[in-house]
Amino acid sequence: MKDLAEAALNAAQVKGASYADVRLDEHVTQDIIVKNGQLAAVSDDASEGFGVRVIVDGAWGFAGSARLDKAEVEQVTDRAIRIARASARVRSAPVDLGPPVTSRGHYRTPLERDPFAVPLAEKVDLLLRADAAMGSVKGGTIREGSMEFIRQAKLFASTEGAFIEQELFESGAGIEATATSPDDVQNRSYPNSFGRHQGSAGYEYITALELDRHAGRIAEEAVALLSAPQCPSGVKTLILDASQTALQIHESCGHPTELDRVFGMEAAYAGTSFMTPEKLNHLQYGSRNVTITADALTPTGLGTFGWDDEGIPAQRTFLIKDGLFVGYLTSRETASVLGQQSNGTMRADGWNRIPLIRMTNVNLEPGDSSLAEMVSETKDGVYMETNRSWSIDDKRLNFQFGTQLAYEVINGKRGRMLKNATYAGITPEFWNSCDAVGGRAEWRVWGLANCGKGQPPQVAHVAHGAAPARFQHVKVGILK
Amino acid sequence: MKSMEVVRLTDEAELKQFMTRLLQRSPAQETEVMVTEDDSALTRFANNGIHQNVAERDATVRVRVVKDGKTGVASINQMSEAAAADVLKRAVAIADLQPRSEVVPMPGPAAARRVDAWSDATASATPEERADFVETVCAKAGRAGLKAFGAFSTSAGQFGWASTTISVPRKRRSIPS
Repeated sequence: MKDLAEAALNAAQVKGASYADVRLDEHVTQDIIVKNGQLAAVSDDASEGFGVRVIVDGAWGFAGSARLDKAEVEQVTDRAIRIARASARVRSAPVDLGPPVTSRGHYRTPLERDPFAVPLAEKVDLLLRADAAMGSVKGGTIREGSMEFIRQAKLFASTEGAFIEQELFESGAGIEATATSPDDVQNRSYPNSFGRHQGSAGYEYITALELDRHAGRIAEEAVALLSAPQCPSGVKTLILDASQTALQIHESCGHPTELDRVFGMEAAYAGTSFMTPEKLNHLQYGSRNVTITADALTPTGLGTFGWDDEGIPAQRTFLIKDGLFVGYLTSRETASVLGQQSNGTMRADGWNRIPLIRMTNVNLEPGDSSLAEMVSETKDGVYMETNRSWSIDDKRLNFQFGTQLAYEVINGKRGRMLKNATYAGITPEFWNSCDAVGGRAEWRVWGLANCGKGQPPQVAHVAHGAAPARFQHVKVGILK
Repeated sequence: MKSMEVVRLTDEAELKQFMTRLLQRSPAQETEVMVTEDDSALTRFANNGIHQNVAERDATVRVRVVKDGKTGVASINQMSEAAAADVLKRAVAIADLQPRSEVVPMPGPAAARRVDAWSDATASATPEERADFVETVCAKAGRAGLKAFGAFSTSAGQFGWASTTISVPRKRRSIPS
């Protein structure tokens, strides 16, 4: 593999590239789905190849191939060079990457048990046990459980002298119970929605979830939701569980701080951002309770690695500090426009894609409250748990979320279960109304494995550390 | 031929030979193999300039086996002897774990209708042609005091399917967008 990388870099330089990097990547994914007491699907997919990224005449070119031999490396490098030359005819300012990056080293996801060494039968058995526990609840209609395991081995080398090898693992699992009546469908999932909860870890991450212990509870909740009252409409105090807080961070802080979006590079697809450069160090994004970091060093986070796909070391930086907007997620190219250096957020979802600015682990730092304390201090509010739907405009300002489960909170006590709960807001108003964040004991890293961006499309696996949080004067329910 | 300068797809005979050998080495009672191969390129532009410009060549080899009334599926993106052995091994391992159940039968012999989905102009589009197109759009936007954002992609691919019961000839298609 090292030979192929060197061949690509040599060819790129000989043919006139002022910069080149090459990534060789092998990706293995195993997915298991159990449905209504049966093993419904097992898929086992492998993909490997390489991608060469070059700068010629101040413009980018990229080409990749699944064929791993020297002749193909030569052809693909030629193609990248030709593409870059074509780009240069219609470029804006020449690409400036800032100071050279010469990282060298090896990184492996810390893990106790290699998920690919665990017998398939053991994994299926765990899902079937959880399925049986959900099935023991009367009134449930559909039960589903899933697991996903990923192993990615990648090599990065550049003409600046960087040479990095990384072996990254992910393990994820989740269960979901659906209950139906003639005029309603309700579902509950554990630990999160979107099929499963995932982390950069080994199989120990799966066993720690204790799927079978929570299975009966979520099935009971799905059935109970059928007869629960609708979430009322009004302006109320809103308390979010940690997983919904995580998605709120993702959509309304993670995405708008991506500097490529700010510069319009995603305007035709993923969108732009309201957090434009003149607001940096001036915008009071949230209350003093709100401090948000991008931390690629967070244990078990899906955005945890040794180096990003430009060779920048994993690091922790502030995006929001005591409510003030102080930083972006950056690449080498975008950071240099602001006179900064990259904070290491460039990742590609495979050998055949260019790296883009992607969230690492964008975390709401723990506060000093607790869910119990937030409830006890609330006179008229709603507690919402586990995302069911999301919607946000392309500048990441106006949003609406729905959750699977909610409870009314009246005079400091949790009241009736509510169904079809939603809330809406405007990003800075919402975060400025945050008056409590849970402490370290309730803080957890939530994996999100479905973040889409880029053309051709890429799906990033990112994470958000979050605890329950409380917000005042929020529009709850469907207002008339 | 211009298209051969840009789009590189596996030769039809080589593709058939790979699929035939894979089927021959399968230990399952029934096996099907589906190969899709694509050579694609995409030019993105923003603020009246090209900022991302990419191309890739990839394949997917998807294998379904039926063994003792149980089904297993696995995929890989390589077309080598070692890859064929690996993907078959993984598909059989999955089949062994499945409960015995009703098996979706492999399709029997049938006439394959020819679909004309190939355009030499699309398949042979060069990076320079895509850049020319984008330049025209951006120049027009610039003259109007506007900024253009978008993407221009071209791709060409082929698809082959074969099983222990039937084989379907290779299909080709090209897509501009």
